[in-house]
Amino acid sequence: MARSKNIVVIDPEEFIRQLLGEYFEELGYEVKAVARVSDGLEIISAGNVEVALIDTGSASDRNYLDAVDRLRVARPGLKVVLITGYPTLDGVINALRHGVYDIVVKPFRLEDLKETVDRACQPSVESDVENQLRGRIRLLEELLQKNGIKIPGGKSTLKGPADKQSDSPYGIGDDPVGSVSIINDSDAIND
Amino acid sequence: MDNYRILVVDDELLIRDLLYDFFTSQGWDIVVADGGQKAIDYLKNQKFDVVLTDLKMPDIDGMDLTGRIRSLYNDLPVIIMTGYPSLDSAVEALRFKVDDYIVKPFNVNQLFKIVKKVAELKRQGAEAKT
Repeated sequence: MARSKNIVVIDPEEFIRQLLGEYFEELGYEVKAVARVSDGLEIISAGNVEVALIDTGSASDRNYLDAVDRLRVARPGLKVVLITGYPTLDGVINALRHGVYDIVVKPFRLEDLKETVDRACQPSVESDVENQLRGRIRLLEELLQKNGIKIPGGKSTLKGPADKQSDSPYGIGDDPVGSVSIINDSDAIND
Repeated sequence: MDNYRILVVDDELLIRDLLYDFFTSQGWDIVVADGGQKAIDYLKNQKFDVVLTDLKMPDIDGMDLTGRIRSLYNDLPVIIMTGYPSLDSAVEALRFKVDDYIVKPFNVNQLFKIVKKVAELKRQGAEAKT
């Protein structure tokens, strides 16, 4: 008998937490359902969690990607599935840059969510080392930035592809679609 | 070491030329392909640090190419660039664990920064494993 899979549901709505909790428990998953990201972070830090389901409403729009980073740093290799009612191109691209595993759009069928979670629980060929590096690099940079410390030479090999520094080609979570498009008249090229 | 090897896939000659000149000027080793099939042929015989591919191409499009890369060379970073961004293709790219999704038109200097970061991370990850 295979060991049960652990998932964390982070959703501000009690009804949804209960619904998903019961549904996945019936399927043999160990489920912890919490309302706040900080509670989810505590569980993920302490336990052997494979998948985190996060309703993007459980953190403000600007913060949920931050939450994704923190969860993935707490548990490298954690698969984060975002549940959102209003997907945008900008949001999806930012999620991609932060290593989100999948996005499920509301309203969704439980069967579809199950498929996503089942897939996420399959043994991963993704490099945990790279995940770990990416998450820790981002956290370190944030720390440096918050403390006003510049990386010597202004050139860091520590940057991830989706960092939040001012010299980033695009600010994560700061702009809508504009943060994705990189436009400069002198170099503009068209497909 | 800052020398990286990149495969650029785009059916537009203008883009291939622009990126070839730019990446070469930065000391990178660049190989260009005008379509997905040619890219697959190159991938079979050569090693790259990163693949930068257009999405809409006449033979094998960028998403199909990405799918094939994921099944054959899972760790190889892939960056998609497109002039026709859509929610569907962005979600598909996310599911393929694409490293970035760039919307055209772009500034080539900024594109370079993104590609370089992805290549650096890849190399750091590989070094950490050894």
